[in-house]
Parts: sequence; structure tokens; C-alpha cells
Amino acid sequence: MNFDTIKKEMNDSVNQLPKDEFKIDLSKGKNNPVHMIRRNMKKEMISSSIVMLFFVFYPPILGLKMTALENSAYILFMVLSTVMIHLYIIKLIRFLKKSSRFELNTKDSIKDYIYEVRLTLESYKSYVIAAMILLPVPIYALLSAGSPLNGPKSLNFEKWYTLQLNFNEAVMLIVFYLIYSVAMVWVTRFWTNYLYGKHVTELEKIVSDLDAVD
Amino acid sequence: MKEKEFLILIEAHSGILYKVSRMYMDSEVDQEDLRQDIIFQLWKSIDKFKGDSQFSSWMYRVAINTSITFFKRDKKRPDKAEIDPNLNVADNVERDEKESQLAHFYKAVKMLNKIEKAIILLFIEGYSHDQIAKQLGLSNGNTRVKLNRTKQKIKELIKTQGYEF
Repeated sequence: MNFDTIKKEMNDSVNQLPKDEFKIDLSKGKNNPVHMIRRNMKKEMISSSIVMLFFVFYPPILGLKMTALENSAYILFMVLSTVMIHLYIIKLIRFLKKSSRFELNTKDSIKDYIYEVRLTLESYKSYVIAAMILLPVPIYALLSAGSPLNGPKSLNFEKWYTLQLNFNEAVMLIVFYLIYSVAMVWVTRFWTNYLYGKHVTELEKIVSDLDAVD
Repeated sequence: MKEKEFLILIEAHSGILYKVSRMYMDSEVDQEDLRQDIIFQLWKSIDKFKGDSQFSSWMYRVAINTSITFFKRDKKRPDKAEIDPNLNVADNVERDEKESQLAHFYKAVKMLNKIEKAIILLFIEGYSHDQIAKQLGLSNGNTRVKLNRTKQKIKELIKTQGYEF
């Protein structure tokens, strides 16, 4: 054996292969935008589910001392946020199941895929924003809770939670929530674009390239 | 470039796709995935091909770069395939002598790292030291040394399989 015979045999073996019809098939491959979207969705589903479930059980794990009100508010709002997060996880699972049946080797099938992914991402953003807007309450309850060593803190959770506020404090709360909500909308959009948007844009470019040749 | 023209061009050079995918991947499914990734990368960057080199050279460059980064993000994938010690290619009576030689070669190639695979593939395809260096972005001297070492490594690996080289 030598390298010349290997070259000849390599060429022979390639020439003997049945000639496939070549096409751009995005349902195959590991680094195309479709695969990236699927991969990021799977990672996000697992990580967000673990994080939310961990935080639901965070105070008892650390043995934090919470008042009855702090405790009930924490559990209520965390459970609500967790439900929201899991609702979008269900949406993502449904999308992944549905999209795994897409052939993705024609312009129309890629267009259908883009439509489905855009639709899923819009409801994903709504659920994430809704869950994020609930979070300041349990976070404040968590901050107010006393550690086993230092005892309770004086952050007046009850006063803020039951809205026993004077005018200035009420304005402060409204302004905080407005700024926080806008920030969460921006962060969610940025995050969605970072994880998925750029890949969807790449798919749209492929479709427009294919459109241009019709 | 129109999709149809592009695919005709790819079909004319389909040997590159098969050779590269077989060098880098073991299973047929992984080879098919890699071929699709290469086609996708070629389609994405076809506008960058200005025609100042041969299409096949450019295609080799894209194919090898794609193969090198194919499982970069997936750390679970081994860089080098584990060789099953019980697998004796020569015992496969269904294969004729020619296929057996090639199988021995591919079995040895699996033990090479990604750069060595690229170097040996380009060498077998008849590329000069200069061209290999350009394709892989290595210096001339480094390419010469790496190529000699890789050739030696392949010979030794094939010899350990009980085959003369």
C-alpha cells in the first residue's frame, strides 16, 4: 500500500457511490440555524426549569426565617412565576415536536418553519415578561427574610406588600415598577434575539436569497 | 448565484464532500450531517468566492474548516475516535482487497487529530506543501514538518494493523 494507491481507491470508492440529488436540507447538519434554535431551546428549557424549581425551595433549604406573610407571598409569587415559565416550556416542547417533522429542504418549508418559530417566540416573550414582572415580590420577601444567624431584617415587607404607603412611597413604587417592567421587556427582547433572533434572521436571509432566484 | 447553479456546481465536486465527511466522521448519519453543514456553509459564503482560486480549492477550504469546527461546541464528541480492539478489518471476508486497504487507511485516519486529517487529505489529493500551508493557514516549514510526521504516523498505524505500507 502507498499513498498513490490510496488516492486511486478513494476516488474509485467515491465514483461508485450512488449519486444523490444535492439540496440544501436544514433538517440535517449540526451548525445550521435550525439546529442552533433547537439546541438553544432545549438548553433553556432545562436550565430555566431547574432554576425556578430551585428558587421555590430556596428558603427552606437555607433555613431562612420568614414571617407568615413573607412566606406566603414568596410561595404564591414563586409558584405563579414557575407556572408561567413552565407554560412557555410546554410551548417550546410542542414547537420542537412539531418542527422535528418539518423537511426543511424547500423554500416553502423553511418559510413555514420561520412562521412557527416567530409565533412561538412571541408567546415565549409574553410568558417570560409576565413571569419577570411577578418576581420583585418574592425577591423582596427573600431579602426581608432573616438568616438563621442574624435574625429578621427590618425591610418592612408587610408595609410595602399591603400597600400601606404614603404618597411619596406610592409614587416611588409605581416609578420603580415602570422602570423595572421596561427593563424586563428590553432584557427579554435582547435575550430572545441573542438566543434565537439572529438564527431566524439567517433563515430569513436564506429564504430571501432563494426568493431572489425565482 | 442561483440555487440551481450552486447545486450543480456542488454536484460536480461531490467527491470532496464524500472524502472530507468520511475522513472526519465514522457513522453514515454523522457523515450526512457533516455534508449538509458543508453545503450550508458553501451556500452561505458562495458570494465570497471571487474565482481567484479554483472552485475545488475553495470548496476544500470551506469543507475542512466546517469539519474542524463541526463538533467544537459539543464537548462530548471525541476528537479522535476510539478504535475497537476487537475490530479486525482484514477479517471482513465480504470486502475485496481494495476496500480492505482503504478500510485500513480510514481506520488509521481515525487516530489522527483534525489538522492531521486535513493535511493528509490535501496531500493525497495532490496539493503541494505551499498549497496545503495556504489552505490551512500554516507556515510552510510547519506544514512540511507536520506532513512528514502525519505520513509516518499513518504508516505506523497501518503497520500495527498488520498491513504492509
